[in-house]
Amino acid sequence: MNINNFPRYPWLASAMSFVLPGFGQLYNGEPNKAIWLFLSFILICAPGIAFIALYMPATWMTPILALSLLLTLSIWVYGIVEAWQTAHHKQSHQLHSWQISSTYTLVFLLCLIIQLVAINYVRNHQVQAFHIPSSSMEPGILQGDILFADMRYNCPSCKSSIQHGDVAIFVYPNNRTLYYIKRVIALPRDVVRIEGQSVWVNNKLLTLGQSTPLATEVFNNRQWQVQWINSEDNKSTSMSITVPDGQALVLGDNRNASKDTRHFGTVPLLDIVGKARQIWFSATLKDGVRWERLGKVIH
Amino acid sequence: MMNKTLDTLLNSDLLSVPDNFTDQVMKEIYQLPMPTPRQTWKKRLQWLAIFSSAALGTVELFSFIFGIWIATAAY
Repeated sequence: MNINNFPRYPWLASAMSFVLPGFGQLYNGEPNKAIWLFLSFILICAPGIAFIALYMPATWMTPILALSLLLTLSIWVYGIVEAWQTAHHKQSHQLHSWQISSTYTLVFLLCLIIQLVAINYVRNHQVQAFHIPSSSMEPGILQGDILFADMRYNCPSCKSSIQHGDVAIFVYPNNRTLYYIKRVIALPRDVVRIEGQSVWVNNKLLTLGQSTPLATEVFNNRQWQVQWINSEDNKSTSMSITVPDGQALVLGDNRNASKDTRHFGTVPLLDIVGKARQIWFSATLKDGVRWERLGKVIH
Repeated sequence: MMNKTLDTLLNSDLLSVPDNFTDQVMKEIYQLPMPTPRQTWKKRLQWLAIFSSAALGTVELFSFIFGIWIATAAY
């Protein structure tokens, strides 16, 4: 019996790769394979493809992100199987000088930190999913929709800035632990007047056509639909305001079922964090999955 | 050169072992100090650390894989 022989246990190798892709390969004494497996898992998949998805047409976003999920899972499963097979064939193994518990612990902790940083970066600066629990943005966005928001928005190095008509995600001014989703109607120094079901921005009427309860609003080349249901119940839709510097005026598309600037005032531009881009899932307990809404691009 | 002592030993008969030789030897062995007991708490601590790290790693892994798909509420 050779006391320097440390056979690799397949169950341990695959368990290590289950917890962290590439970790089982490290245990098997294959650092090169371990590093490439981990790098492909961490970079090519979620952040990489999310990045690509954001530079492609909005309609491609959900399929590409679904592909990234599939790729991520494939690399993960491949790592587990590969670690098992290699360990199974490595019944005689002499430990390398670096194969010590402290190295494993250090690598494990570093990789956890890298994963945490990567996913937080993607969620905060590239793409983040939001669930819509209210009907305030109907008819465009329904209660039960889950959408992707472009988080490369309204920041010094971001490509897109806030425009009139954007469906924006922002931090709710009265409770900064909540996000709200509303349409940006006016930007700093715009003069806004709302009377009944009509909205004017800089003395220009947004409301183009109306077929109760729906109405179409237009600003420059962009147009969107809003709805006014039970308008007779709403007594406070009359207001006139000049949007202060550094602020934006936001309204929900479902004008009589939305808490927006009419209730909590204008929103600091700095609190606007993302722009709604595409619905990737939609379901309610009553209707089940609304298949026709999957992949719908938000205008 | 011949080693006379070794030759003498080789030519002599084997040592005669007393009847209770085995018992005597075993008695001495039993009187030897017992091996130090294994520090089970250390082992348990190691396994606890391994399992909790594995649990943490698994949670972290799944939150990475499904991180993009986990939705935050936007009212």
